[in-house]
Amino acid sequence: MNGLDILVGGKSPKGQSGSQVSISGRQILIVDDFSDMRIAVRRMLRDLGEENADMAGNGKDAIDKIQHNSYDIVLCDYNLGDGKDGHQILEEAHHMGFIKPSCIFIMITAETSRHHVLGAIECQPDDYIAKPFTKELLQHRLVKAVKKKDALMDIYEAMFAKRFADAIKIAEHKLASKSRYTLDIAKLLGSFYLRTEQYDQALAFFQKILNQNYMPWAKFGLGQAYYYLGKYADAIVLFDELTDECEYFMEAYDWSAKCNLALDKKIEAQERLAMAAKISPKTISRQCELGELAKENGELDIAGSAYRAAIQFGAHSCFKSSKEYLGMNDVLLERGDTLKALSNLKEARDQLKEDPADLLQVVTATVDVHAGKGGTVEANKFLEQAEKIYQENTDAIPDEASLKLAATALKLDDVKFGTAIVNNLAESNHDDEALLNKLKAVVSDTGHADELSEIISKSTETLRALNKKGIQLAESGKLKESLELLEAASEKAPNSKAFNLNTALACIMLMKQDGANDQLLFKARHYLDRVTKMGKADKRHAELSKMLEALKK
Amino acid sequence: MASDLSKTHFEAAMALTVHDVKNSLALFLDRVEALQVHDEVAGNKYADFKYEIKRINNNLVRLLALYKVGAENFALQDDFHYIDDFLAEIGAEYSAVLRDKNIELIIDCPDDLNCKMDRGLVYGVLDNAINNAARYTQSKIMLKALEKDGFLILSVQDDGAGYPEQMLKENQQQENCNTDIDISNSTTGLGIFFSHIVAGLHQSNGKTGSIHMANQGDLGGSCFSIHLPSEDASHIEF
Repeated sequence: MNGLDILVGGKSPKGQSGSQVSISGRQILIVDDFSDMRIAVRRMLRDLGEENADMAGNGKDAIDKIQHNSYDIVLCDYNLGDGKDGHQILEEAHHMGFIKPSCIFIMITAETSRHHVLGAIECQPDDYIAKPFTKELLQHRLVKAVKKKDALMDIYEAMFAKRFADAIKIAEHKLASKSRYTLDIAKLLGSFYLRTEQYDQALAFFQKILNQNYMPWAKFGLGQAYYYLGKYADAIVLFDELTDECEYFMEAYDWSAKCNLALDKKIEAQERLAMAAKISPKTISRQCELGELAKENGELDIAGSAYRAAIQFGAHSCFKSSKEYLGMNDVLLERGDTLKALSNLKEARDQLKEDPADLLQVVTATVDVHAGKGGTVEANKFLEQAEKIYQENTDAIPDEASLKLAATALKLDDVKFGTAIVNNLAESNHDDEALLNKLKAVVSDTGHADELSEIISKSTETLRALNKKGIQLAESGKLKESLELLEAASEKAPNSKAFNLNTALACIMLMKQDGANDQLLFKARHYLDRVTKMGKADKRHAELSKMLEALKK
Repeated sequence: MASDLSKTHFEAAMALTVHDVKNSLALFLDRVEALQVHDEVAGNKYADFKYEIKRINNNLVRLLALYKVGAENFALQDDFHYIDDFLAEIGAEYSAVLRDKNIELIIDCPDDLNCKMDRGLVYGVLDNAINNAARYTQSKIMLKALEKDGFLILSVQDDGAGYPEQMLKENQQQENCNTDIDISNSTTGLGIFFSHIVAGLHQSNGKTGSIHMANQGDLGGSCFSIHLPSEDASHIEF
């Protein structure tokens, strides 16, 4: 067999030059839940001269392998039984930064028609191959994908490094001369305009394309530009047209719902989500969103069945969360069915025992349900469990969950525990007025309003002063002292966005002054990552990340 | 049939069945290929297997597509495609099978020709035509592409004896009278029916695709062609 000749040629220059061996040594991963199929694909690859193929039988295994190996090619079946689907794997692997720009990701599907999710532009497979396929077809597609990757490599590199300004420059330059990849480049460029918030530019770009030829992706892009420019009604028209034209255009339903929500049309938004959920019921986040909306709209039956679907499909996947169980809990309580509510929460505790943040929220809800029906003993038993989870995992608990737990503990008159939570929350969020207001509201409902308010203001003031001092030190050029102080404060209030970001900034400023070094690079990354993990990454976080990347060069 | 068994149920059942059969076919194809690799005196005895597997698969795909068109649950998945690449891919897939049958596959396509079309459906049309040609050709099959008068013309030609006059006449009548095509008599009829549907779904700027059958093609035998309204991506300005 002659191997994927062109793949050898397509390799980066540091590949084994000189020795033109027939095996090009590409690292390949085959993902399929069907073991015979994995072996069949591996045999094909061997026939094509590719010997290095790993195999994964489910989503978790696939993500694991992708994380620990730098694959050149991933061949992934779209339908993976009850677990994740191929698109979720690609998204997750991408999200975690496990996929390198040169990696070729090919989705293997059962049908030729492409009613697949589109998702973010970075999370799109390089090609789709319909089953069954011959090795000749596989070879043809791989060669084609390699050629395209090579031709657009500089764009992908900039995109993966989130250097969108560079990506735009390269794409605009490439677009000036016609090539086989002109439309691929245009699609990327349009999404970059959106990503960099150049909405007027994006609007003009997509509109110009649509004036010349109809392409669904351009219409979708135009709809997004309208949304960001606040033209919700115009956007809705486009998204609804897209779903009329192709009922499998899942994102278009989601975007239409989003636009309707922006106009406070909750019924219409619910309808769009319901249509999408009917066609693609396995997307748990959408089912939860539908449940939430239906609940708000007073449609308990619809809410209940949405949450039920989310629970059912989430049970075997890594996408399960407390959200669907808590939503179901609300529905059941509203119907007055306390017994069912308790058994739902019991199932939730079983399902979510691995994740402290989710588990804590479910346990808190359990305390509330027991307390609500007068079961003080049971309520206190679960509150104890909640306290244990909280103490052991304080850093991993989202603020909203802590707030609820604080309210629950104070209601049951566990003042010591309640106070501890309030204090932690105040320290971590001294910079977040909105959350502090919520915290004050929680406290004011209890019998200890005055003492607790006092604690809140004391904690926030102390930390604010500390933060201010750190900034002053930095401004007066005492960067090392500033970093020391901020770092200590970050450790005291590890969930404080302000401290973590300021500590990262201090590291960056110090490196700007004295030059980059590994220790500070690592430290800055650590504090930025903390903020990402808390789900609090914002514009400032993005700016700091960019500054940090620039220092690495 | 209970009214609960709605169209959606049937479609779901159909899609699942197709999915399952496709998995079986993929495995079957793999086993045949494995046997062939290890069989030094394989000759062409596996060609028929592979050929039939492809036929079953393409029939299934066609059936599903026709069902969807009939159920008005169909959206043309059209996009711009480079024709040389499209034909090269078909060539890669068929040349081995055809070689085993001692048939040479020739591809004739200008560079940079591109057109908006539903690749999967047009593939189905060409597949059907190649299968027919393979049955009646002497030694060669040609896939040819060219642009003419605002249409992309994709043809499958051979050096066989050509279509029977009766068949050409019937096809001509159907085209002229725009009558429903009779699919009851043969699978050839089904293939042609499918091709007409696919061609008709391709419309642009007031032009509609069409199917043409003739004799005395470039290779002297039959010539089956699909004409698609030509839309060229390279005219788009950004």
